[in-house]
Amino acid sequence: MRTRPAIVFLSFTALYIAAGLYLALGPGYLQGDSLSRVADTRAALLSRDPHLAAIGFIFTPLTALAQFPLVALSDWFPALTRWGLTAVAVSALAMAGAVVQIHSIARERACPAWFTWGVTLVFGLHPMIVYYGANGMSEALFVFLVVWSVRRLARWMSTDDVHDLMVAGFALGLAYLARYDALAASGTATLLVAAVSYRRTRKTETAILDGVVVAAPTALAFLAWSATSWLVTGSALAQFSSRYGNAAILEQSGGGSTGGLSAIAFSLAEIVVLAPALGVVLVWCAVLSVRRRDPEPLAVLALAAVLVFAVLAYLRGMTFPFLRFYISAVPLVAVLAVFCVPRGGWMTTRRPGPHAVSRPQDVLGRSRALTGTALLLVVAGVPVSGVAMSSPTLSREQHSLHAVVLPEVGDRSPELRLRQEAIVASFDTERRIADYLDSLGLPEGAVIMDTVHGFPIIASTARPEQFVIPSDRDFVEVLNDPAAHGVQFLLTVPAEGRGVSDALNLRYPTVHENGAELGALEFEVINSGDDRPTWRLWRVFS
Amino acid sequence: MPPTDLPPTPEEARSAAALHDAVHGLFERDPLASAAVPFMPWQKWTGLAALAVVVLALVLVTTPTLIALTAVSTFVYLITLADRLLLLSRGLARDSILHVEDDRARAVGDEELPTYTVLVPAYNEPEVIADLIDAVSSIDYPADKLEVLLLLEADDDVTIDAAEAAGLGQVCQILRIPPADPRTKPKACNYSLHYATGEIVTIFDAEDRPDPLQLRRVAVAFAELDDDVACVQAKLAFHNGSQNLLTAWFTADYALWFNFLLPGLMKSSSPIPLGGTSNHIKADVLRDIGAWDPYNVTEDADLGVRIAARGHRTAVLDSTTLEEANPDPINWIRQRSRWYKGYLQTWLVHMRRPVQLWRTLGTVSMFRFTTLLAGTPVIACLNMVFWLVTLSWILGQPGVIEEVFPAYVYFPALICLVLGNAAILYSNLIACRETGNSSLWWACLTVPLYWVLMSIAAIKGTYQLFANPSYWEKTVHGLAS
Repeated sequence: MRTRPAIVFLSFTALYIAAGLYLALGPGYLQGDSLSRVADTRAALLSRDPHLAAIGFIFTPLTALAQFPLVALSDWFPALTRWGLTAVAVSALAMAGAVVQIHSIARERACPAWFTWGVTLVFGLHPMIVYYGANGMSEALFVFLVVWSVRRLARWMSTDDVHDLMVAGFALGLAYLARYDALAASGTATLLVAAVSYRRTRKTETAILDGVVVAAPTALAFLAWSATSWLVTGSALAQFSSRYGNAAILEQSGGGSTGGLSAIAFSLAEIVVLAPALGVVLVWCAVLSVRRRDPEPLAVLALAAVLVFAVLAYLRGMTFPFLRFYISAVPLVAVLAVFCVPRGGWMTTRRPGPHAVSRPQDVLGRSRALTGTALLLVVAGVPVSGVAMSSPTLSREQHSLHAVVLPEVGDRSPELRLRQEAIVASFDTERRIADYLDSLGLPEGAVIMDTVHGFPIIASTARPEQFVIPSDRDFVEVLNDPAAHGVQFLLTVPAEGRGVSDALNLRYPTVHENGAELGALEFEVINSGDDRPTWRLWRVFS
Repeated sequence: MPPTDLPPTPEEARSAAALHDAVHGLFERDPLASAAVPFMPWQKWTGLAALAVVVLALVLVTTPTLIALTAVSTFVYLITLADRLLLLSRGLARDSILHVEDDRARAVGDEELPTYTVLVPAYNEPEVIADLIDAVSSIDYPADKLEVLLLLEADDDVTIDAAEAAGLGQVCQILRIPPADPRTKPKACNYSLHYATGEIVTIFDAEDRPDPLQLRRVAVAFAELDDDVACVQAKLAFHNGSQNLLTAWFTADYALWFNFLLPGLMKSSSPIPLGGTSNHIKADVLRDIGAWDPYNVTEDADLGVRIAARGHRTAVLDSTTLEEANPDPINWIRQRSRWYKGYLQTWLVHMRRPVQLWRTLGTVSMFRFTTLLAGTPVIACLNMVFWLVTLSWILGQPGVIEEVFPAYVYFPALICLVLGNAAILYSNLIACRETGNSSLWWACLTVPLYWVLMSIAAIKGTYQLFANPSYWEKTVHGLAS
């Protein structure tokens, strides 16, 4: 690695890890999905029935797989998973990678140094980027991989280097393994490459082959993941059919859009608060590119496609009103600002292709003013995003940061403040349940529970092997007769909301009410977290 | 030779000596370098002992032995695959192959050019004579420095008659090889070395269409490269790639091999198994290292390794010779099985002095020489075994297979199955894109069927190595439409 990118990479990794450590170990503010993935990874490695398939098939596996080495260490250092730090390590590295890619796009455009560093900082320090670099969610990997593919596609426009096509393809294939939305980016990139290739050569077969080179890794990722899911769980696309998938969650807890104009308006509002300058910079970049006959900015279509996909999915009522689904707007506006800058310099490349062109040098007056304005527009958006992120309506998942980071600033209603504190306190209760059970010194497989709500317990416990969980291959057998299999405790949640899908409730519908004649109530724990269930611990009749 | 009482003329004596040297020279000078004896006694006994141990282990401790075998195979697969990808990525760099631009090749004055001998061995191929005249006439090289020898077996009347009828004598000399076994291309080439006068010797097949500037490019390359480069291999490609599915696969296969893997080997300073034609060798080095082995059925690959084993290097040049791809599956399998057999022969021959070879080549090149020459055919055979295992597992998931694939073997094997096949298929796509063969994209996507043919050929070739070591599977030419 060359020195400059290495410096950028290391500094931002340090920044995001610091932010992640602060959030997790200070106020203890964790994101549920991230912690849930940590728990799955732990189940795959350290449960009483460790097997790879336990990482789950609801989400694509890359974010979980990347955590394997660190999760393995949690056997000795449970704090790693208890506070979701294994996930933070992955997201911090990935988001720093995204910053390096933005930095490199600007450098390869031969932007003035002040602009290159400006756009690097404004992207890397954007509150949404900092938070998702620090919280262990899969967005960081996804943003990194899609931005990487955008950079390579932009390079390919002038180098025609097969390496650029290959790496763009690999990045998009990996992006699918981080988040399903990558299919939109991948499909768009494939069509774009085929179209550009056709314009160059007027040969259908060349266009097809170039398209295939980009699409193949995604096709492989899609097929391999679907086939694996099908072999292990019997359903190729668990996300859409499983009782733990998005569709099921929407049905259980509501929260999907009602469609129509209000849905579109909401999506647009989310995009605008993340990148207020997007509209202006987009139009400006389009006009300039047409005037310069510059094809490089077309590469951003891969990122734009992800946004369009998010808008459509919400409109169709398929997803939640989450700000993070629009996170691509942040790199998008940064990259567009870079492409407003006149082209200069040249691309070094390993293998110039048959249609490589030497990069035209745009000579345009007022370019310094143009460049400065583009950067200022993007900078101006950052505070807006910061404010928006603390709004409960716009930023359902992030607004509690307000309570964490700047509790004294702004006036919040007492109810909101209490709710935000409860959100921050989420999983506290589960951590205490885990500590209590750990202290009993139970044998292997002594407690049975479902991880739909119990994942924080798996992440926090020092002894994951004392739990019988749905990823164990004998789970159903044990659940049918807990006492005979040496189970001493049942952990139950109310059969409401997502608790409806809890395996114990499905098998024994009255178990949370009365123990279903399996055991006697040991105690009940009122949850201090927001939107978290009341737990009951039952001692099994032996 | 008819029995006569007359003493042989000087010419006859020269021919007889040349013939004897062509057949026995290498074996007499350096018996260990010749494949005349397929297995040394110790190689035979080592092989049989290893086989006995495996069979015994299979009988006594069946499952652990099977696990060990699959684990070893999987490990070999993985490491070979990783090395292939490394070679490919090195070969992908624009500067990994030698370039000599047209104007630089033309700029060399005639007086500076070395003398050149082009050998064209042919046997029973009267139909290619017309093409040959065109190809030879198109070579851009001063006539007084170029010698073209058409090598024909003296009793191959059909080809000799066709050549004389076409007036071939104007563009080249016809050299009649006295009939004697083994009737192989390397024997003919060895015989002709006794008549060749050029400083550089190269071989073209009769139906080849070399790049007209190839000889000049090679001359420039030799002048610029270090003295330890003894051989320059040009790229081979096919002119009938779109004839049918088989020629399309074969074209993609060659595109990958000559454009990326060989340059990758050159960049890694590993031994380069030469292609059958268009290798240009310094004549003095060629004679010094014993020329071709008439008993090896891939004398080209063997010579490439021997060049490396004697401390010389081979460079790969960006200049293409067009050949005809084999459009007939049976014919293709015969040719490919000969190649696989020859690769194994070559590996066995050079492993007779493993320590000496390792000292010359170094560890990495030694490993590469093994994965290329022994690994290629052995893996192609094993593929069939593992495909059948996979198929039976998908169809019935028999318990035996689960036992033989514990987690630590299962996951690496799965990586091989999914990523390995995908990576090689993808490499074919890249090779077609970079060689202007975009129209073959559909063949790249169906290439696994080609691997089945390869596997059949490998099994046939390996079997033949034991059953009939020096038997030469002749490839029929002139089937292109």
